[in-house]
Amino acid sequence: MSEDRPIAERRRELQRLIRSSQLMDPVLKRQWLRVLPHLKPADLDRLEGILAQGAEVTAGEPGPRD
Amino acid sequence: MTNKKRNPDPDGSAPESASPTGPSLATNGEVLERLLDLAYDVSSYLRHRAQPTIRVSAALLLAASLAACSSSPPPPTSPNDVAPLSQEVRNGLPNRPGTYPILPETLTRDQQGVYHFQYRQPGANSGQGTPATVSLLKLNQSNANTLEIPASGDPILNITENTPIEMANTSSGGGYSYWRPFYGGYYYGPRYYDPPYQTFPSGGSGNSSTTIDGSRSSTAPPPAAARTIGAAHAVSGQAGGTGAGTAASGKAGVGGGSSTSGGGKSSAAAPASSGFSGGKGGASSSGGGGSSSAGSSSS
Repeated sequence: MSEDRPIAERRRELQRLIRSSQLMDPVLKRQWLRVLPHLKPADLDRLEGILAQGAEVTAGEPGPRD
Repeated sequence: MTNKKRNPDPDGSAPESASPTGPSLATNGEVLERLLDLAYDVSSYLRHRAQPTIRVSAALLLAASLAACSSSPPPPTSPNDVAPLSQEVRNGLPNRPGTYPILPETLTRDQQGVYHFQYRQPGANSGQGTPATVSLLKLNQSNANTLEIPASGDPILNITENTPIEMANTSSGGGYSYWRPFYGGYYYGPRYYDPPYQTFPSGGSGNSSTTIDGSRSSTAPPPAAARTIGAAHAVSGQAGGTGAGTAASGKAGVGGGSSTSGGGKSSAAAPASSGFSGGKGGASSSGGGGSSSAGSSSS
């Protein structure tokens, strides 16, 4: 899956995804950003998948939540 | 809900395929629930970390995820399974303005809020009558049961205070359901009246019947979805306000409509044999001979 990419790079990409997420409110974003450095690689995968699908869901909806 | 779906292998010792990455998601709520699942799993191992800040962060993550899921709007539900009218119904009505006597025993209202009745020509005292169906119909309390066709606007059905309207197909138990919109003083002039609840209690079986008294009313016709009446499919209902009053309501999309309720509190129509309580006076009874309750809920 994403094992070839350096962990640090993946975390940076996830940071960007979290910040731009229209799914999360600011509080939730802040908490995910705080725990992000401590996530296991498998959970990084899960988070990436969820955020990607969340972006698909919100793509057709007007306006961000925050 | 979600706590049943926690990762059984939070340490990651299971194969990678155990990680749920499902097919496309339908709603924000589902995505947030998956985030909550992940938050549960993450917090399950972060809470054992030595650093207090990480433990606190894990707890806050869980709290924020729960809050996000709680605030996610639930899917829309209706109190009954009745499909609203897609088009207004108006058949068999007299062509000329005037007042026409109706046969009160033929007066029914179906689950979609369409009235069915038979009327006679003015001055006629006998005969079978002409059947008519109409969805946009004002009701008016009167001392005689008549149909009034104005020169313009929706027809008005004048009925006496005690005239019951049979609610067709609203009972799941084989009994009959009746609605007396004006019984008990719920009278605000010619308006669009609806039963105080959108879910009727399950009618009794056999020869028992249920009578609902009171009404919601508005000067503008409510949307079709607000006119449906059906047997409750769950313990859900429409909360009502208390006290009589008039409230601005733009729900019908026809400007300036006002809505009035006669007071009382509606309660959920519980399945099967539970009582149907609430309403002004709080009358509620059930039993073999039928049940009656009075009430009105604002919409």
